[in-house]
Amino acid sequence: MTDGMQGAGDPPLLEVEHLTMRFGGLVAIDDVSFSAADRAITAIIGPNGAGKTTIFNCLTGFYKPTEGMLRLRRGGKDYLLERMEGHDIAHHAGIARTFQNVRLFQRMSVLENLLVAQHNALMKASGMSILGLISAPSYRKAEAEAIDLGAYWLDQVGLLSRADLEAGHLAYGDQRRLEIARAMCSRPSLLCLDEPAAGLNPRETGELNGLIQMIRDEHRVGVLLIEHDMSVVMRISEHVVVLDYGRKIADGDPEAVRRDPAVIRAYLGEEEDEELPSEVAGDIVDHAAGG
Amino acid sequence: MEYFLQQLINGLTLGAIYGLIAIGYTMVYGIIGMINFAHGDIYMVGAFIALMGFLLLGFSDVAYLSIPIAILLVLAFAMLFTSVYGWTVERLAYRPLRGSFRLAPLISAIGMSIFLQNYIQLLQGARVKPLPPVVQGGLNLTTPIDGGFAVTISYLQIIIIVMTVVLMTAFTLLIAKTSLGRQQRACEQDKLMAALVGVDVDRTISITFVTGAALAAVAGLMHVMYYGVIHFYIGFLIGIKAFTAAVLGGIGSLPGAMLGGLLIGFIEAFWSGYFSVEYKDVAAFSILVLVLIFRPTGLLGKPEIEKV
Repeated sequence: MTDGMQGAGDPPLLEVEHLTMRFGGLVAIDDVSFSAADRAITAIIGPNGAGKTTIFNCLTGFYKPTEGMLRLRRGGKDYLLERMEGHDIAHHAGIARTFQNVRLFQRMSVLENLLVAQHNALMKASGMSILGLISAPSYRKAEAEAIDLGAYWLDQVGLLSRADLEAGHLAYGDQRRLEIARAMCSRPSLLCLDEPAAGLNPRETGELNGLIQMIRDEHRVGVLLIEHDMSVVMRISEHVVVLDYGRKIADGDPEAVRRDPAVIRAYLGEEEDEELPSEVAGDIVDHAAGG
Repeated sequence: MEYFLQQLINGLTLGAIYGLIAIGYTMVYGIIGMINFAHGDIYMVGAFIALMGFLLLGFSDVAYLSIPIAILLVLAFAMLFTSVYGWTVERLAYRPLRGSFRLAPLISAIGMSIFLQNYIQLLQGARVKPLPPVVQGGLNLTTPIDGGFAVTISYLQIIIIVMTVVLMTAFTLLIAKTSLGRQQRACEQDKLMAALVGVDVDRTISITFVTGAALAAVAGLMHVMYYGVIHFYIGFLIGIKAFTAAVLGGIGSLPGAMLGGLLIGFIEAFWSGYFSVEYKDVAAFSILVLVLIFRPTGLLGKPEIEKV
């Protein structure tokens, strides 16, 4: 097992050790260990039902893992995520995520969606909103800063002109990008993207690649990426973890993973088992050929 | 005409009280999708605390206090202690049941309501408690024409209406403009997602109960001063009427609760003014039935569209 793509001697941002998640008799994740480096893109791939999203749900506190340890390092402090509440994970450990099916606050404006993500800072500045109500200077300053940060990210995702629109009225691709902007407004240390390219056309996918790379390079954030679109995974990630039926079957740089016989078997199936979805297989084969 | 104006003023006063209570129903429904049937009794508790506040001030020989300051002091006292009740009710009866089946918190709300009634009955006795009028006098708006009567608005009515307008404005601003309000609206729409951006959902729900209880305490204070008598059972009928107001306006909608409260106040005042006092409750609840039949989402409520 190759150990990811960590920079020279840096401890990894996220360490997942022996993570197991059972639902009754079903083992969704079975003793998975991997790590994700800071300022790098780590992709988690695998066939449908491999347990990718379950890992995200464990990381963000939505599920409590049956076994295992999830350690995140932020500002010299270690956070053991399996022991924390969801909102504390977001607030203190700084994990932000997006969803396969977009989950915006549909009936709030685009800008408000970004302000909600910054409310911990705002609540502190506003003294539980009492000062906000009488619009004290300290609160106004904090709010102006929050709006600035929101505007910055709207600019990055190309939605600045639509800041006052209701989020539910945005086009699908715009909603996906707004979700990323919202995640970034909470100033995360680790950004978890769950199939960000799903439903995007090739041009939008290209823009998305650029956005994710920009987030990694300029904002010094670790990115954990679940994606089926191999043109995203292979092009931008430094490190790929492959899951199949809840087990890790490969872990390494994209080039190594692509050639790994276990991965090819998982995607293409054993020889006697030829009923695997052809489009998934097609992706891998295309890449192996055109690479 | 005078008669109409007079009923309009009376209705406005009633509506203010109903509106303040209705906000508590609508906010709690908005955030956890549950009717807090104990809210009417929180209002009753608020009225008792306000009464105690007045008595404490009376006993402590601070006659030099001017009436407005005394009222403000009692108001702060009632809001503070009623909030504690609101917080406790949520903490004991609803939070442990979160994530349970939908009927569970409803049943515990009804249990809480019965508990609060009996608790006050035990502690305060079942007899009616009077409060001598604190604010007297009023303004004549018209001069009586022979045989007619003058339309008056009492100072107390002015205080009630002004206080309500101020509180509702502040509350609307709180929800629309401040970070706390955004947080509340975020929890209303998607609690899981709110938690994922770092919002403490449980605390936000607590704050909702606390603010609802504080507004109910204001309504309770108004009740004590306006009617001059309270007993342990006032929360039931007025609570149900405020709930009707919230449904009429569109449950979950803040302006809806205010509008609904106002309408119920007018309906009652005009019904008892022009038809018969005995049937004023029937009139109010008939409205509830009609609204539920013809416009289940209320006047300002938006129908929930579920995307498939």
